[in-house]
Amino acid sequence: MAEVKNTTINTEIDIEALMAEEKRERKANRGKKPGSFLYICRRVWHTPTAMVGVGIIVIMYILSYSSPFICKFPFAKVDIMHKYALPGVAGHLLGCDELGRDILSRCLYGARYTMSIGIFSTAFTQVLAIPLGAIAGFFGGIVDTLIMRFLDVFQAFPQILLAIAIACVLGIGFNKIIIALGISGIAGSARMMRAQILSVREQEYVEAATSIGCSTPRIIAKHIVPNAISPLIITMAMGVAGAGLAASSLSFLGFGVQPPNPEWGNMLANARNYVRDYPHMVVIPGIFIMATVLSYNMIGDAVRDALDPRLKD
Amino acid sequence: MADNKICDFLSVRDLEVEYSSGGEVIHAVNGVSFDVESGKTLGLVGETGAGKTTIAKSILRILPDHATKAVRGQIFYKGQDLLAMPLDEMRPFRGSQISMIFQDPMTALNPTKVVADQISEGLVLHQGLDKAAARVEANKMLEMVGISSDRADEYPHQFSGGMKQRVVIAIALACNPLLLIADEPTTALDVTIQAQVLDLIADLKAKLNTAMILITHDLGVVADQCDSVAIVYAGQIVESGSKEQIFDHPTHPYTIGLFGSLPDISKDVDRLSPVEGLPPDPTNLPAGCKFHPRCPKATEACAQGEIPNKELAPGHFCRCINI
Repeated sequence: MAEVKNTTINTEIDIEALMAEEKRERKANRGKKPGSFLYICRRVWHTPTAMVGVGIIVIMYILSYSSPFICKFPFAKVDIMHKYALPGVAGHLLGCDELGRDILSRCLYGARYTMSIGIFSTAFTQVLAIPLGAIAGFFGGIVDTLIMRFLDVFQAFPQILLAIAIACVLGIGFNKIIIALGISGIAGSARMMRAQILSVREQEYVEAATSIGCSTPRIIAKHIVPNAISPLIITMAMGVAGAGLAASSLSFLGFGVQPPNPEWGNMLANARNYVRDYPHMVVIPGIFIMATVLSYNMIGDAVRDALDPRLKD
Repeated sequence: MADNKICDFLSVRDLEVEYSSGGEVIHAVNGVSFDVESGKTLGLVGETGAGKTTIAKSILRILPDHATKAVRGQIFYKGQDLLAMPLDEMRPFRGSQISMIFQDPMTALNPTKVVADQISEGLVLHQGLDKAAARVEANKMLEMVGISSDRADEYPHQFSGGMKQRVVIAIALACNPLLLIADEPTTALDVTIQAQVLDLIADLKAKLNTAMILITHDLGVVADQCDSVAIVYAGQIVESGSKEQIFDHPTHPYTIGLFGSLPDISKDVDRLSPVEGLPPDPTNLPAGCKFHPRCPKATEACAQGEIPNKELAPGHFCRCINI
């Protein structure tokens, strides 16, 4: 302990200089500090699987928005001579559907719906579910009972049925389907957040944070939520994919994206009658859905690893 | 010690804490009173489950809300009753004036924050420093507890157990508190590190003139560190006094039993002599003296009525009727 005693004595000297150096260092280290947004981006950048995912999604978006200009056949153009065309026939790279519409063009154009609905409805869900779950879990008692019993009402219905009911009330359309799917997911996510909070709340470091004088909101935001969030991130990655699928189901049932606008789900639904004779009509949109789901999951995994310091290295 | 006039610094009077668990009431602390003077160290000694940690947590008011049924009594800190204060007024005391070193360094650190941020948190909260200034202070604290500030940006899982405990100590001492509550600071560490950590605490305490409540079940540690000692049994202080009084003239049968169970290097014995029996069930404490079912000197009178706190010598109190 001898060297310890010496270090404290000469630390008073140059606080200003130390602070200036500290600030310089902070600037130089931007993005290197674990936990920062830049750091997370950097980690994802260095994870090959995640970059494949990012690549697929970015390319999908670019192709989706440029498809009206680059595709030889517009997505709605009926070419009755080539209905059920197999991939490669008559310039249709991925074949045609039962009305002779180009499947490649339809899949690319439809990407914007399925992928955006997934992201926005999941964001909508989490923005409401995380605070609700955190408050219920942290305070417990009557607050917990009120919030959770209210959410039980939502959970009493199968999720897709609830989404249909909400979509019925709100009406038909792209935005409304986002809200419908968003609301129907809140109960599940909030419940998960609450369970996480309950286990983290009892940890000694939360008590330690209280003992140095942190306020309750600070404890929730800085000490509890960061330790409880990892499973939620995985759920979000899954949720983006799942919500995309649910959007497809709603489209199939006549809510949400309306024909003739193509959507992967309603393409699948239309094609299901022809699956024996012309499986490419089902398989191709299916591959698009799978690639998207897989990409989101790979990104989700990488973000989770970046957020959880214990899994590093 | 347990008289009515209160000490200038910290006085605990008639503290009672009850927990509820599965419909039963657990009497964790039953009428504890003690004083700590500025700059001095009090050792709270007792078996596991005697209520030592509960006493410590009551001072900071960090008992678990949902399990705590009742907290009664007064805790005067510089003349103000901490228990009677609204929580908002109480909060500024935590960390800046009174702080705590937790028992288990493995769980007392937030795994998702780098250690420097955890040390500087109190500084930002209580001293209004900006982040860069707090960071400089945090680095100084780390150096002070013997960890290179190069490691300030590392996470708790990258440190060894002894180093984590040093970080915990750095957090507790960051704002130069006037009262430090050390809850078995060395229990989770091996013996060589124990000595280092205790030296470190004693060193820093002397430098900052901090008073300390040291909770332990290790009488060796008490002999080394404390000015006065209180022996806790079943949520009561059964004997208290200066270190010399307790070590030279242990009077309560439980205290004698504790000393008797220490291994003695100068004697050749095959077995240690433990205090027979187990601590009483806190949901159903025996009437009269809480220790009488295990006491070698117990008489019938021991099971009846409250046992008065006798003053044997100035400042040396003992809660036993058979002495």
